[in-house]
Amino acid sequence: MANGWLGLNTALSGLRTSQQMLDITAHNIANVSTPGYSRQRAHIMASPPFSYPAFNRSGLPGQLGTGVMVSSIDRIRDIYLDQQINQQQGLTGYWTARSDVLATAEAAFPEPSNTGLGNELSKFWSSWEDLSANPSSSAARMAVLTQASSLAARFNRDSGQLSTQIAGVDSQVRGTIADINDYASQIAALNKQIQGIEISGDHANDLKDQRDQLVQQLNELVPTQSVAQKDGSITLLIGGTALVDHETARAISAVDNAAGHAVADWPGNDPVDVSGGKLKAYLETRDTTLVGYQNSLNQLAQQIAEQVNTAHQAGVDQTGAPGLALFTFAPGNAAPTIAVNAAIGNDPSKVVVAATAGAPGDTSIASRIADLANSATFGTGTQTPTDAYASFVGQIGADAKQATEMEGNGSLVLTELDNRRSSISGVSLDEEATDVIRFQQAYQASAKVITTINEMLDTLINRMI
Amino acid sequence: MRITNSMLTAQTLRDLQGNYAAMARAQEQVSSGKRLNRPSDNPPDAQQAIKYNQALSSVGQYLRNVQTAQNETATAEGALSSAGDSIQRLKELSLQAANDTLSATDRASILEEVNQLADQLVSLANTKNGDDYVFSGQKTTTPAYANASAVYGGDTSPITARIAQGQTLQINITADTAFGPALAAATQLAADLAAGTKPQGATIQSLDNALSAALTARTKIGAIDNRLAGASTFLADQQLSITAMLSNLEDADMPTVISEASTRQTAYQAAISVNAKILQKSLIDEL
Repeated sequence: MANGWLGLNTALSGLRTSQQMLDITAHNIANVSTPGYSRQRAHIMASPPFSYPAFNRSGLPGQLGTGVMVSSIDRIRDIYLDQQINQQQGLTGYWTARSDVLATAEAAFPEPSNTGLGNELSKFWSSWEDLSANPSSSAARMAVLTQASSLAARFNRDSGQLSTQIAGVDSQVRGTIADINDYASQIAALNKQIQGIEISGDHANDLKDQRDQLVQQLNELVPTQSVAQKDGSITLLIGGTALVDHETARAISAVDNAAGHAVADWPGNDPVDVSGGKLKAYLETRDTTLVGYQNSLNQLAQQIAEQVNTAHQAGVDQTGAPGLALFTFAPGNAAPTIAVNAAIGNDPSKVVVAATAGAPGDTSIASRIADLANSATFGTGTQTPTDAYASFVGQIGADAKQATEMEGNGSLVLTELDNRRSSISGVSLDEEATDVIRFQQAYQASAKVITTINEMLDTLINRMI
Repeated sequence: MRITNSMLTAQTLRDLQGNYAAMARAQEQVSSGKRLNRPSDNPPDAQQAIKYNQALSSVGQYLRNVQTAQNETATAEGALSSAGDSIQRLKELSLQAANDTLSATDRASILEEVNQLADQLVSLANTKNGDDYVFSGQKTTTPAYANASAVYGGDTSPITARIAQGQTLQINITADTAFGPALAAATQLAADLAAGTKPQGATIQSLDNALSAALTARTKIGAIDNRLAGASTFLADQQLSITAMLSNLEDADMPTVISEASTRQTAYQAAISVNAKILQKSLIDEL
């Protein structure tokens, strides 16, 4: 049977609910700048009405509502959009990392310029031209040795810079693997917490926001697949193998390969299937791209050394002795090891100018070596040395440019998706302010009802005899 | 679409950063004066620029080669000119000596002058440019003639100058053709005078031939010099044109770039001040 106190309770539920909604609004406003925060809304519904169909039901017309309640606090989030963002994060992460590595690589080749390997090559060929015009000049011979030495040093240096960079990228790989493990263990810990909370029927909104944030950051490093479980935890898979399963995180280890570089393995030594993200970019640049550049440099150095040596050894030096090889190098690894033959050292008389002894004006060998500058037998076999070098630099430039552009494109897409997510999940201060006014009024109205019922009860209790 | 505060701030930040980055790029071009500051700025252009740089270096080198060659030919020309004078004098002396009315003393003094002229011709044949004998072919450390009656000590191989890609030019004359006939004739003349006879008709004729040979040699050197001068002009033109092409490729057009930098800066400043005003307002202020 209905009585005055039902009305009080109904109004009270209104007060309580308005209070709760105001609290939720306050929470939203407080978190307007929190990254990854999704706005929360109370799901309110009318509380179970009175009376239930039963044998003992009252004879009054029913059902009579009993007020309002908050049935759940939900966060406004588009899961599908999250998946899209995570995917895009992986793509963009790949190009960002690749672009960083290649920007550093191309800084080692500051072309076009008057420093750099291109210029050293020009000066080397020039020194042979000078020698062929001044065969008896000891200064011209010395200049050839100096330029040869300078050219070799430049090859050594450029190759060395690439090597240093490869080592640097290897550190990045190890660091990234450590970061992945770190995220994984944080996500596993959150899984445990969230699972504990959701068992009791609550929504762990803020913790889920945190977890989603971590998953997004993880996806920048390596693409993962996320499978939501019924108990509120998520299972993260990389290439089909679980990284995080409920509260367990499997640690990826950085195992050294034959070259002393790290590869990512699961415990048990199965390789991790890295299909994108920063990790893939680092692995790829370290093992393929930068190594490719080193190989091109090695090829050019070796070709130059071989062809110059062949010509040099076909003639005689100033003392009439057969010419020695001008350069020494390690075949297959020419760029870091190329050097002027120690047996020639700083001795200008060992520089070969003539083909045969006795004719100091014979400059055929010097001419032949100078002609190599225009000989289309370098690089791919149909390029001059300068063409081969230019095409090498062009390749680096094109790779770097492509990476930067793809990074830019990826960023734009990510921005667009982010905007959409902000639109759905972001806090709008204007909206929240309007809600504040709304809930305040609702509160005041419910309070007014209580006052009125109080007066009515007062009449009933205190003024009736 | 629902617009939230975070969207507005994020967009503002992105736009400001974009403006700033564009400004930084324009500034870089202004301060370096170059459009191409790294290969990735424009990979095909960078490739071409490397090739132009090499071409420029190459052309500069050929110019130096041509200058070195011109030094050699100038030296040779001078020597051949003096030789011509000496041979002319020998011819006069030989005609004098052919005169029947000459006394023994006269013949003796003519002989002495002939010997001196012969020595002079030897010395001219052994002209050096720096440390190299100019008329000895490729045997540049060997004198052409040890003395007036010696055999030619050099060889007949060419000294070539590399004056352009794939182009070489022989720039020397060997003493055997230029000086040989003169020395042989002078030696014969001296022998005739020493023997007390008048010079034979053949000797006088051979002096004519010697003069002719010297003149021919001089003409050849002149022709070589012409070719060198032509090469020099052509190379200088090439240098100018390659430099222009390289500049087109590499260099930033200063007026354009400076105005771009200035425009970007203005845009950036405007964006900053407008955004500062917009971002502050929300309904909360009115509550």
